[in-house]
Amino acid sequence: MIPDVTKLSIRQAHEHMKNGDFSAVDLCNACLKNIAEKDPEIHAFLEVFTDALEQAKQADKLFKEKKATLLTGIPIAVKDNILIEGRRAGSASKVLEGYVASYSGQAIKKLQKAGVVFIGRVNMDEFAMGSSTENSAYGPTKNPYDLTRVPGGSSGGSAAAVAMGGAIAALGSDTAGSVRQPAGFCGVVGLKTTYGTISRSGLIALGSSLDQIGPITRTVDDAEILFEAMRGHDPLDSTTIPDKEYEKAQKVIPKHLTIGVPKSLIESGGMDPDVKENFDMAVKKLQEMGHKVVNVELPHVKYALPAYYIMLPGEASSNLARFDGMKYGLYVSGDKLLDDYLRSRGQGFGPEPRRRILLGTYVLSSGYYDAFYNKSQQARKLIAKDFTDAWETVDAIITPTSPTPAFKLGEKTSDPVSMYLADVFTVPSNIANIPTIAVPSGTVLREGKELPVGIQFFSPLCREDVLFRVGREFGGEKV
Amino acid sequence: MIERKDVEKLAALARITVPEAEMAKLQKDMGAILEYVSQINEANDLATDIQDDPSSVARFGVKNVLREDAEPHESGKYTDVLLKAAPKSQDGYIKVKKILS
Repeated sequence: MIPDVTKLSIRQAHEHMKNGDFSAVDLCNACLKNIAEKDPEIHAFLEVFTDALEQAKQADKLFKEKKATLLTGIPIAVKDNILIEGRRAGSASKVLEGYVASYSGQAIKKLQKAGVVFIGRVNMDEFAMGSSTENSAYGPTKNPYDLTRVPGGSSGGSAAAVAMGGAIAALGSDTAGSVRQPAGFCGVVGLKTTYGTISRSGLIALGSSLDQIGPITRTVDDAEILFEAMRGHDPLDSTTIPDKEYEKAQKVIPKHLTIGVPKSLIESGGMDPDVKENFDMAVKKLQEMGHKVVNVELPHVKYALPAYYIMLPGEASSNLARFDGMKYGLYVSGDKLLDDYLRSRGQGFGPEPRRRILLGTYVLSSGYYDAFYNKSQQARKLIAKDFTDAWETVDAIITPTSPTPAFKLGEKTSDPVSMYLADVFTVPSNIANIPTIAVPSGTVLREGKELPVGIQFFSPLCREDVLFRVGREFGGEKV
Repeated sequence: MIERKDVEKLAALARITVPEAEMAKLQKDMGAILEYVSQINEANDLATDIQDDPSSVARFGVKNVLREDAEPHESGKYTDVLLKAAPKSQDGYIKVKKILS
């Protein structure tokens, strides 16, 4: 049979390969065909790896030798900020033009060991700064559901690649919603895990205290498979949680959950009426499944977005200081050493990184540090505590993934603050370090096109299991 | 809220040139962003010193993590691959322009 990559889950593809219905090479070819047909318009891929079929042949060998894992032969697209040794990686920035990764991150190594096929590297907002993939130095990605709209961002290439059938799953990174918001806009599943569960080794840093690699998949089951394959302590990322600590946090999940709705956050979020109606229906569906839905107060979450746009530029400006034209990437020569720095950075970084570098320099400078950066750190503690308090009464919290469906290309590019507001429901998870999953919840109609929308479930630290349970149930997957 | 000379100073501190054509827009955008994030200064409940919540991140022990100072890799093992990424190198070193003039 010919695999239909727009429908297959990891588990289904695995069963088919195990039964010999198709091979890993067939599966890879089906992805390559979709990419060749659809990607000239969608532009999810920055590069399709020329050795993808070679990797698939190796996977078929593993099946023959009965050494295949659930992930063997599964085509996976990788965001351009995750390093695979010997391959180009560039965070969709000209400042890393020509850079070839000198090592692989831990998540990549673990997936390689499981036998996945890395099919290509996918587009993103430059240095993961953005919510639409329009900030890529290599041109925007389009939403597969409507080519006049954005796929979301910053992992827009990852979400579009999965939605169009260019891969069965993809890796993204989530600093403020960069996995979940594009997943919502493209009708797929996006998982942001507890900070410290998946190593950041080999992830080009944006905001180190907020970044997490996360899977974008077709099903919740697939997200869990990839999470289990990638998670674990890593000596190369000292912020990873020791495995024993993670196990200790596990508890039995009650059959019927108490789910909190943060009403005041949702009301303040600038909700589109159709998306609000979709969300209310999702809440009703959960009630019909026997879950108890209650209001939950998160009094300080209103500060999450302003706090984020202080701490993130601060961290990003420090992280991006390493791109100086000396060690890797773009080099533009000037009269003196200082001019080399000024020109390499000036010509290498696009407008959004430049804006955030300057903002970060501002909020961290003496005289402003207390008014901005310190305040944002205090807000961060209070927001974390809001969630801790909420877990006294609820097992999970639910919000829409985004206040609107996918917006038009160019709609928000001239006004950065309006673009930032697209993160209003996703950013609290990164601030509080908690896990959150975005799942599809139907569509809304815009100009005759069905556009996907999503909802998010939040759970306590290290309780990804709660998200997988309720996410599966909500999407009608086998629990 | 933010003046042209402020942007110029920040650019110098951050070692980055700003194209003249971008200057006005950058100044306007930064002003708008700073105005937006300044709402955090109006929050009275952020005025006090807030302790770490022992049940949140700190549950996993927020502390400095130091690697054992042992088992170094063989000297020079990664030199070639790292130097290959550098725009200019010479005799096993990254080459840059004169630092002191």
